[in-house]
Amino acid sequence: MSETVSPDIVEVIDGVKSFVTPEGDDIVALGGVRLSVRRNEFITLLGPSGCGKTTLLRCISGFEDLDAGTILLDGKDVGGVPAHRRPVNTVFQSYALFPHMSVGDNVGYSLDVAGVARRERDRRVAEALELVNLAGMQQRKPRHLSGGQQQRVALARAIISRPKLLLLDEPLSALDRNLREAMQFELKTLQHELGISFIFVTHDQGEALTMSDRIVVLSGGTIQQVGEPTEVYDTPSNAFVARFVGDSNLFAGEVIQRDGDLALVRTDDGHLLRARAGIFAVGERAMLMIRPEQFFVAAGPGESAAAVGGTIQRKVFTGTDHTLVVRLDGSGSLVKALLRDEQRNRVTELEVGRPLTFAYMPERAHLMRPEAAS
Amino acid sequence: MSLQTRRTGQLAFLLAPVSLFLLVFFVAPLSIMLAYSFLEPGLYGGVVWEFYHWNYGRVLGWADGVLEEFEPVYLSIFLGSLRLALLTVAVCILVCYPAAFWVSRLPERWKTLCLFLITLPFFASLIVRLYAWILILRPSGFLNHVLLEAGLIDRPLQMIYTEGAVVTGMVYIMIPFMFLPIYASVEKLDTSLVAASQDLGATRFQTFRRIVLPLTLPGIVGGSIIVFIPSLGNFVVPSLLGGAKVLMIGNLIEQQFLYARNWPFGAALAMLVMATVMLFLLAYVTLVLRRDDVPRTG
Repeated sequence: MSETVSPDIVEVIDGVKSFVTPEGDDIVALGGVRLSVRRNEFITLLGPSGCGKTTLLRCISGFEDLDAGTILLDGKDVGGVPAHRRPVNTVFQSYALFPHMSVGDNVGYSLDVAGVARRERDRRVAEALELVNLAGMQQRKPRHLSGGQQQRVALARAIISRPKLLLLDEPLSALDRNLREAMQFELKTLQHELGISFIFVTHDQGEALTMSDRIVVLSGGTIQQVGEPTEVYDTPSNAFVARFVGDSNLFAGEVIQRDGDLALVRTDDGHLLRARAGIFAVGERAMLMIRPEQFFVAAGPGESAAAVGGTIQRKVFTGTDHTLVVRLDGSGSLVKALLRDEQRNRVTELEVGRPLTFAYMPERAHLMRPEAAS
Repeated sequence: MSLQTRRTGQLAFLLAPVSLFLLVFFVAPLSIMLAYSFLEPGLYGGVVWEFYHWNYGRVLGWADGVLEEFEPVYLSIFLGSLRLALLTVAVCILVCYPAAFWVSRLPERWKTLCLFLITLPFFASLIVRLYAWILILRPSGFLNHVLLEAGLIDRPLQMIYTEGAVVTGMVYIMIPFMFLPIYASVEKLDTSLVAASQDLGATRFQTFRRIVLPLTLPGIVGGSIIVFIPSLGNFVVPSLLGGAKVLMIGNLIEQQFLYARNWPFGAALAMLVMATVMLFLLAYVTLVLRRDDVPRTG
């Protein structure tokens, strides 16, 4: 019987890791994490600082060991295998370029320590530099390069030995905005060309949505949700994910009626709102989410099955959109609404203090669990 | 007055005191020594104002054999001192380099304490501390006592008045001067570089040789220079711990000035010591310049 190739490049099974602070407290960095990364996949670990994403990365790269649980790399248990013997390379947040070496020596480092012959090594260094658009820069010293160029050198250095998996620890956070956006596309293209899996760590949800095949949302050492960017954005699994990924208006409440696919929710501040029911039954507590861009201005109350009335508190122009902050009638709660280009003409008529009615499509409003998983 | 000239004026004003001090108390005496080293020694001390290069000939081998004789013993004392100074440097590195890594990983509070402890010996007189070493090393001293009691030896070892005692004493004095520059470079070492090296497949030894050592080398070289210079010319340690057995070039110079009353010869020896130090520094600067030949612009 031939050995079957594992479909996943990385499998983390019930990974547990905690640290002791200098004050003697225990901090749980990973509380039973279960994750698999497919071959040729761009997966992003997303979460606020301290959520455990970097710890997970360090456990995979071999700089930390799990307290309990297993990590399989390409089907093999790597428990206790030191970093230098794992077929995994990392792009560090600070780039960690060797300041005393030229760009060529930095990129060729992994080949040099592995004893690859000079000619072969030089050829591959040139190739790797070409891949990151730095052809012919071998002789430069890292300190003479711009931030973006240093980033590319770090990337070339990490991919030259064709690792099975590339780990990227917030590699774009030190770049300015334009450069960061350009690099996002380049990274994605590179990953596609190389055909290796990328695990990308970031706290920037925009970055995660742009680049990833799948996003893993982490909080407090626990995975909150794993899914494609649209999935995570449209149907967050709980209020934490909804708040962390994109802007959202959240209403805590109770399901008081189910009507086919739709549920009627009485919110704690007294509104009656409709949403896709999902798994929720009558009487259950739930969190209802309406994304700001799901609101549109209605002619008047009663135009739609799902509408709320309110008064404009603030109006902010953000380039492509207008953001309105609206105080709802009755409860006085504030909600955010994003009005796009096609409604622009109507927006100009809207002034602060004016009452208006917002409608939304109830089948796009989402119900989820109120609390984050822990 | 333009801003530029005012700046220059301020700078001159600020630098004047130290320049004047160095001129009077450093450049002038050094020039006198240099001049004396080329003068004829007077019969009862003092100098005769006559150009006289045999002072150097006596040491380096071109003495005429009439007025001055070539004595290879001077050269061998010189080389012996060089050897002891280099040995001192080597031992200091071996002691301080691992210690610096250890201290740099301590919590902040313990680090400060360690640095304070390193400088603590400066609070006591050098002579007193060297006498303490005599008490430790002499045949009836502390170390022999302990070894005898432990049954490891059956008669006291001759530890004092040996080269070992001299090197021990010099290492003891010089440790702070080696430790501080090394510590500064080790503390500065970015640990993410070590992680990156391991991540790229380098073993611990490869990481040390290719990353850690080159990046901490400036500290080692800096410490070595600061330790080497005073060690080469040291005469206090060899006279206290070396006794009559270990003579260093510093002792020889001292003897020429204070007892033999041959100032020109003493000056010549001192100039040779200085020239040696200069050669080492020159070699270092050349190496540094070659290593860092990439222009800083661009």
